[in-house]
Amino acid sequence: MDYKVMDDAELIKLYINGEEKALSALINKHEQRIFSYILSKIQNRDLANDVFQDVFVKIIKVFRSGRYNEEGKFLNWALRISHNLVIDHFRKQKRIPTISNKDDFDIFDIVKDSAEDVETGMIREQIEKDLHRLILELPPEQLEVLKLRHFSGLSFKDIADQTGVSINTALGRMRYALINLRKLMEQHNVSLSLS
Amino acid sequence: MDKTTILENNNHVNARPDRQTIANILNFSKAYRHEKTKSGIEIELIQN
Repeated sequence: MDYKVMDDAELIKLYINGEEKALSALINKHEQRIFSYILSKIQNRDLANDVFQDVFVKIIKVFRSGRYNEEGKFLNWALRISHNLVIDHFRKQKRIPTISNKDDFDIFDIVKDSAEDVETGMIREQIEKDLHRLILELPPEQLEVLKLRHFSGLSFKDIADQTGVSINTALGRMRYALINLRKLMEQHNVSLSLS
Repeated sequence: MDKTTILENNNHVNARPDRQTIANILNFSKAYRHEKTKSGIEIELIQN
């Protein structure tokens, strides 16, 4: 069977039906694009190999569970998984305690660590996406107060005037918005923290 | 006149994973089993 002429959907179908070589062909077809993406973010070949492996373990599990949606493009989906696992990697890394240099001179005091900027930026971007998705699930009156307070920077008096309610009601809505947001974070297993 | 040439590091663009990584993935694939019981419980197995 010539796997090279097959498209992704055909390879995936064959693999799900038990043809292991189809997975090998699928990896071979996309490994460069996926690995390059991971390596460009992580900047460490060994760690990038670990993340690449985790990406395909996840992909295999989805294929075997029958949850793969054929409508989407495989590469885009695989890159989305890669992106999420890169973020998970940085999150885990930030939780690992590091030994600080006890000498007076530390090269890292003067050398700018650009990788730190990339990872912090990626996590922040993900947090913003998660937050945006979650706040849209809030009841409209709570969403309105949250937006006016945090995104428009209005005082509670201004919010009360603008929405035609008392200050106490505006404060109450804000309180419930935050309580509900915490519940939604738990339900969706979302962490909105850089650490 | 400044004739400095800036060389960009584009090593990542054509990078490929190690062959051992690919072998690990293919071995995992061969060993991994996913089954669903009649009662709807999903079971993951790693076979030797």
